Amino acid sequence: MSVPVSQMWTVATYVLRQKLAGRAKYPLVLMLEPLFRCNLACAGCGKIQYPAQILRKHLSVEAALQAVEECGAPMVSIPGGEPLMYPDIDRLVAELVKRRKYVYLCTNAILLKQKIDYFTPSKYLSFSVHMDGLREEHDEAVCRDGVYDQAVEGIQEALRRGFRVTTNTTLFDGTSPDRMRKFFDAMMDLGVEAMMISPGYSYAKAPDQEHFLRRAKTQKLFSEILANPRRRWRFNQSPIFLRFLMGKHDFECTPWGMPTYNVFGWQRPCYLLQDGYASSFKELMETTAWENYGRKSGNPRCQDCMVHCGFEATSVDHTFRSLRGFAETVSVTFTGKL
Amino acid sequence: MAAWEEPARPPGAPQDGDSLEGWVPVLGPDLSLAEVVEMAFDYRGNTTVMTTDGRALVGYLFNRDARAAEPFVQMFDESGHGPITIPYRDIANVVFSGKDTAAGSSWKAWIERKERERAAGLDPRPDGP
Repeated sequence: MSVPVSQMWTVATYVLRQKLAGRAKYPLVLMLEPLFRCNLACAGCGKIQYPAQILRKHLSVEAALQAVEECGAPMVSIPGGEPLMYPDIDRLVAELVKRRKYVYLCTNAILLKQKIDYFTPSKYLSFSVHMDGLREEHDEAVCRDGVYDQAVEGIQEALRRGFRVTTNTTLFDGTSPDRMRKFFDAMMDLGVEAMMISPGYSYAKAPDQEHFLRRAKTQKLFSEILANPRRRWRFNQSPIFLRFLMGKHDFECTPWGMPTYNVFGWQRPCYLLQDGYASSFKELMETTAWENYGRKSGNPRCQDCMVHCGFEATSVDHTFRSLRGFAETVSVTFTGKL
Repeated sequence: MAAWEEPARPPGAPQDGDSLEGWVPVLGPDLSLAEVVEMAFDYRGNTTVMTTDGRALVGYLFNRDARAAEPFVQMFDESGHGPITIPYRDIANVVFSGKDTAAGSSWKAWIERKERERAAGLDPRPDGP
């Protein structure tokens, strides 16, 4: 099983409550960026290119917790920047766990061994370690030699201490399906709980503009990677989302599904695009021109996007929208056939 | 393959697609203040907001709302203080005074180094873990 039963139950009951309340737009995961500072400068990342005074800024724990309360999502993902560089990461995580939020601390794991004592194992806390492939591919993606080995050491130490550990992997043009399948085997051999995979988004500010995947290529690549998936591979995401990546569903984006809060406020409209900021979650939800986003809108920045932060929520909604969707999810989950 | 095509710049702006670093806009029929603000919002470096009363506010312009009843920009100054909210009506111009942090120089340096290593015949390392 890729996601603990208690977490699945929490998410399922949350989604059903939203549906029973007649809420058409609801958040599933809060993307909480406490800082933009990072100890890497990855080729495909458009998140950290800011002047020094912005990179020095970080959210207060109180502001972060207020955002969590405002949003109400059952899961909180803490990306960045590198969250282990956030000076109050221990207190923030402890407070989120106390509130029974399922926390994914997204880290490159360079500092994981050094800071592991800051944390206590919990079913609510998972280190989501950035791993973009086997050693050569990962170090190439993060533009620094040796990071793969550091991440592996961090994963091993976290697992040894009883933490939940998952991986998150971004795929770009040029990815070898065979190498990616070997990478999945390697992560399972390491003992991680499950993996998350997604195509990269075409950040206009990312240094490497040549290797972002277009939609048709994304579908071809994921179809090749996930054809005949091994039973031992576990994914920490909706199997419907994986089928979407393979071209078996034609979903529309749910940009409000994973709202983003950072030092600038509530980011419009999503984790990937920056069209401005709202000062409250309510303002974000009520005043964002959502009709301007997603593939149907014709917005050129959305045409090739198949990233999890827009489509994972759509996939979950698909599961709970009809008996057919639910049956499909159950079938894929238990047979393992995508 | 490039990423999605960014919208064309207004006629009064640099047209070569390169960084706007150092640009001092000349407002006029081919370039409105609203267009300059939009480009400043997209710019990943500090800018200098010149106000109509002669002040020069240096900082990172992170937000703007041209559709608000009173259109405004928001910025953090060079010390990180803010957000400072400035109505459009108080802005005379915005100068692209700071370094463009999205110019990708560290990535280019990495690529060049890797190409040198490959040219020198260094073999790829084993997969691991």
